Amino acid sequence: MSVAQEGHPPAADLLDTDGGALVGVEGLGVAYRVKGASVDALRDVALRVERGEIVAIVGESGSGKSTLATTIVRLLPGNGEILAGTVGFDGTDLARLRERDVRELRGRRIGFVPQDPMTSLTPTSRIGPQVMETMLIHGTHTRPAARARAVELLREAGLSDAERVMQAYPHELSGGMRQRVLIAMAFAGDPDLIIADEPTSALDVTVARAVMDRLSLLVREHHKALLIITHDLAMALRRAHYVVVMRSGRVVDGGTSEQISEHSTHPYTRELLENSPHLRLEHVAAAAQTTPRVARELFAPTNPETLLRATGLRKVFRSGHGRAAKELVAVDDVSLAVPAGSTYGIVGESGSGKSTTARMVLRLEDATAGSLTFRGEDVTHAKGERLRELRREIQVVYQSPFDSMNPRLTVGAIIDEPGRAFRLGTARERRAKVLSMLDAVQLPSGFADRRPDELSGGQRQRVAIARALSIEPALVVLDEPISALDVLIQTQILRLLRDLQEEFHLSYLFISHDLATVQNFADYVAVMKDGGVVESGTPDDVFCAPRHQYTKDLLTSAMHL
Amino acid sequence: MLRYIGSRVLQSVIVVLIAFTLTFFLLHLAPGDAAIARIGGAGDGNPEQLAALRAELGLDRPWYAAYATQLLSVVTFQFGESLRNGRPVIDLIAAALPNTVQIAALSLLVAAVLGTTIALLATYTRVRWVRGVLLALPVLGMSIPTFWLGVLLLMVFSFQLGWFPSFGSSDVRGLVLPVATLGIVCSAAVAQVLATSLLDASRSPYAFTAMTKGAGRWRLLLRHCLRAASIPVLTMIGLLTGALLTGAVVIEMVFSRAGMGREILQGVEASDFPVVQGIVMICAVIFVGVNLVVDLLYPVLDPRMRRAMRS
Amino acid sequence: MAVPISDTVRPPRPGARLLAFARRETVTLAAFAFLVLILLVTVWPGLFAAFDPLRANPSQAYRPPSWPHLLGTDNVGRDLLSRMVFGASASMPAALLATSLSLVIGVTLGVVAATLGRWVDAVITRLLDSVLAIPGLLIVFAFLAVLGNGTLPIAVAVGLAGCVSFGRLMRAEVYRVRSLTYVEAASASGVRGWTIAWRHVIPGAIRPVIALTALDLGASLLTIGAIGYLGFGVAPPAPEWGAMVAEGQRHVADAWWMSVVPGLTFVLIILCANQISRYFERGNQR
Repeated sequence: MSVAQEGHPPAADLLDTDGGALVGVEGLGVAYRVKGASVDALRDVALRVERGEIVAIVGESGSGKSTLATTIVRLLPGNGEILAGTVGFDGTDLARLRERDVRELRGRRIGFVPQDPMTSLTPTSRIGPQVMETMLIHGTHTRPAARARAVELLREAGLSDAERVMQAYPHELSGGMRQRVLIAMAFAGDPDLIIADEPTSALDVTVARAVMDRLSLLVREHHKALLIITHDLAMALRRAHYVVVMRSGRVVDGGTSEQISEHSTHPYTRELLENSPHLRLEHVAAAAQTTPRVARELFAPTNPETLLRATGLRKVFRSGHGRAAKELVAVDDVSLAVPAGSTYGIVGESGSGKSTTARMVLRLEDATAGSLTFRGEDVTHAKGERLRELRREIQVVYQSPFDSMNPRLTVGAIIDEPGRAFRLGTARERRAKVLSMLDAVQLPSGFADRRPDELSGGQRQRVAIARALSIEPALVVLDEPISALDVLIQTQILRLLRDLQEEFHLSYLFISHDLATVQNFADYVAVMKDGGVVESGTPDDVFCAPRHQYTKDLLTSAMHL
Repeated sequence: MLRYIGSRVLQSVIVVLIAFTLTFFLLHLAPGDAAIARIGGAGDGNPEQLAALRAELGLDRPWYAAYATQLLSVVTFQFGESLRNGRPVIDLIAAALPNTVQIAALSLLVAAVLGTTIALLATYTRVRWVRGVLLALPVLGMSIPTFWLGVLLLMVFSFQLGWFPSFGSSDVRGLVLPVATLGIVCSAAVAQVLATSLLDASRSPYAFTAMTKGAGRWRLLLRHCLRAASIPVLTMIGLLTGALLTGAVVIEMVFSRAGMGREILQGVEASDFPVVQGIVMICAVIFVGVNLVVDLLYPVLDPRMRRAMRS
Repeated sequence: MAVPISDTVRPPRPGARLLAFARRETVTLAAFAFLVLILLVTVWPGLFAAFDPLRANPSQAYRPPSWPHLLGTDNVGRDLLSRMVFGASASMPAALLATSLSLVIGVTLGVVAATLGRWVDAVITRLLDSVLAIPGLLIVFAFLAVLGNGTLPIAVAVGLAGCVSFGRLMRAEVYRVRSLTYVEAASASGVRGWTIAWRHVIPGAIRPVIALTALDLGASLLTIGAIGYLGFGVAPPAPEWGAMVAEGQRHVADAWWMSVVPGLTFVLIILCANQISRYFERGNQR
């Protein structure tokens, strides 16, 4: 897959590299001081960015990619320090400059698009002054000129109602709009280099695509160099001329997009390529055939009972009282049926109501209208003891591996908790059960005495799965169970879930925003938007031959991000 | 917006009402007879005089009647008369209140300015020991008894150096030490709250964004962090009103100044309930009033709250 | 950014952990030790005082801190150190009683408000607001006016005034912890309400409460000291720290130590209490 398609810049568009690279990092070593010890974040990192070039740095969490970005602008947190190496920018070594001199470069020569649009704008200031700030700090414009330029920048970033946005406060704008503001801000000083730190990870896929398109356009039009930091290899290959792969603080691979995608021999890169969800989605669409699920068919009974049926579920949230009451319809007329032994996937963007639906199934929320039956019995308003009995059959795995566990309890106590609550067996029997569950999720038995904060994200999620399965439920609701994990770990956990489903004859209700995961993992899919189901069916139906426009939009955005 | 103001005012009124009820019931638990206390235990009040006095003071009626009557009079700012000398309590308060409020208000100003300065400097400086010292000051300030600091300052600045008068005095020089004492003690709370929230704000993602634009430390603190960080400080100032009022009362005694301190102490010693109740009610009203203003100022500082109120 | 730990790593020995803790928290431990000392002084004054606190000895009046009067003598020749030692039992028990009262009443009100919610919550919150509106010292004055002078009314009054902060804190904490994901997860796992409260909610809320208790102890002591300064509390010639400051003020020219010493004691005790409070506030994990 080459970058030279669909308007992406071909290699020939690069400016002359006559005066040397714009950014030249050599032998960079950075460490953090944590509780007295020194922890390496970057080791012997080298990087080159030519003028007008788009370079992407790809890595999982802990790879050091964000540290590299913040080091270039010399904004490491207080406990970080540069141990060795040079950070060359247009001939100057930024690592050796005085803070005062670096400050003159920030914003003016190097623009930065920060990570999280929801928290990266000053909440007590209007947008206008924030966009104008770079120009005023560096004195490139008078106040009226800066104001006019700010409006222009916001328009270029894709905000058509720029004048109104200038007067608005950050909390009045959506996530996508805020990201565009941040982009406009980065361009305000007319820098030579723009660094974008995870520009899409906080956004829905349709919005993310639009934002990235706009950013690429601006960078090309104004001949800027762009350094993208991302965990999404697919996006990097599509958008950048040159891709650098990082792992554990080192650069392990690098090359043009074509080299990386077609010819890379580095095992880590290959692993990332094979496990990147969006790339798999493309393969699916291209080949128009599903990934074989042979082993599973053997287990699926020919006429399975419907384990869970939801009919016309509706949830309305009411806030305030009296005349000032506001209503929010989170879920509107959702119906689904989960056959025993299968995986039912619900996919949708944020605000689609997928999580609320899951919570209604779990009876963590009361349905405002509609009905819920489990094994034929009506459980819509189950309470008290009946509800507790239901909980034996329906369990949950949350999105956040850390928040869902009490940090003061040991792993063993956490896994044991449901069994204890239902008084299943003696203490010794339960202890044996805990060990067997740890075994089932492929964790060593010694972990039973550890605490959650001693475990990695993937390990914690395994513990969450063990806890959910320990009382042998019939249905497990998985609410974005892998969204917070790195790509390679995601694949491992999915594989584990698949194996456990066979071993314990489980049914899954799998909630996700990620189409590729659902496409590969679920037997049935429902696509939700604004509280309703717009399309449902088998993954083949939905992803290879979508009928609803929204589904089509989702797919194209994901494939062109 | 109007809804918000209305509901806050209503809540304030309810709070004052409950405060009045609490003090009423407390003072009605009094063992002993207020009428006898009024006569001063001189002994020769004949029974008719006593009965007349009781009727006058309303002590012969059941408690709910007394409650209703008192409530009505309090609402119209008639706090009755002092049991000690028969003067209307409202006059007493009117004479003494300005002195106390003067000290409290000036001390608040000093506390705000001093506290903000310390907090800003502590956050601005990168030099670790300077920050350590500056942050240790509020810790110390919160541990010093107000009355003791007053005595200390008296010792040094009045007796030793003779710069300021040591008691009474109605001119500006007489105000300096009392206001300094109370101001220093209260500034500690302001400094601590502001320093913590400034530090948090300076480590926030939006502070990082500002720095990527080339903002220097002062700009960062003043333009981006201060407004958001001031919100908890505003809350603190509302709560500080109570400490300022009691502090002013104590300070008046330390520096022998006229004011509500003297009145209430005399009232307590003589079991002069109307005076005590009157002063307690006035302080409660002031406290509630200041906090109401604070609540109304929140939306001014934090634009996020404005939307929440617009419904 | 948790680092996965391999199976072969052994947990550190308990002794080593304690030592590391001691090295990290020397100041807090010192503060704790000092408070224990004060408690001992309160309970066994005879152990620490060399002289009779009430025995006047005019020939020894106005002695600066020196041997054998380590803290000097007052205007009638009484040993200041002994008076300080016996003064502890005038202020400390009252402060402890006041804080205990605030704790019990406040925590109960807060838990009830947050658990029962809606109108119960509204009523309790208004009630707490009303008590808050009356400055603490004035509540004490009201009690003194009604019940006459005495340490018990003072302690009870300070206790009642102080329950507001505990009430608000507990209410906020219960609301906060109840909305944590792992508490909901426990409920989804089938755990019963009481077990959830005991195992998840209370341990989560306990640290800030302990922090506030330490802080409140200091605040109670300050109020009681102020009341003593103003002339209430134990009657002279029994020593009381606040009253001693007042007395010292009258003799500032001749014996500055008479006021400075009791005041410094307040400062030290409250500093230590605040230090302990800050330790719990920081939420020190293992």
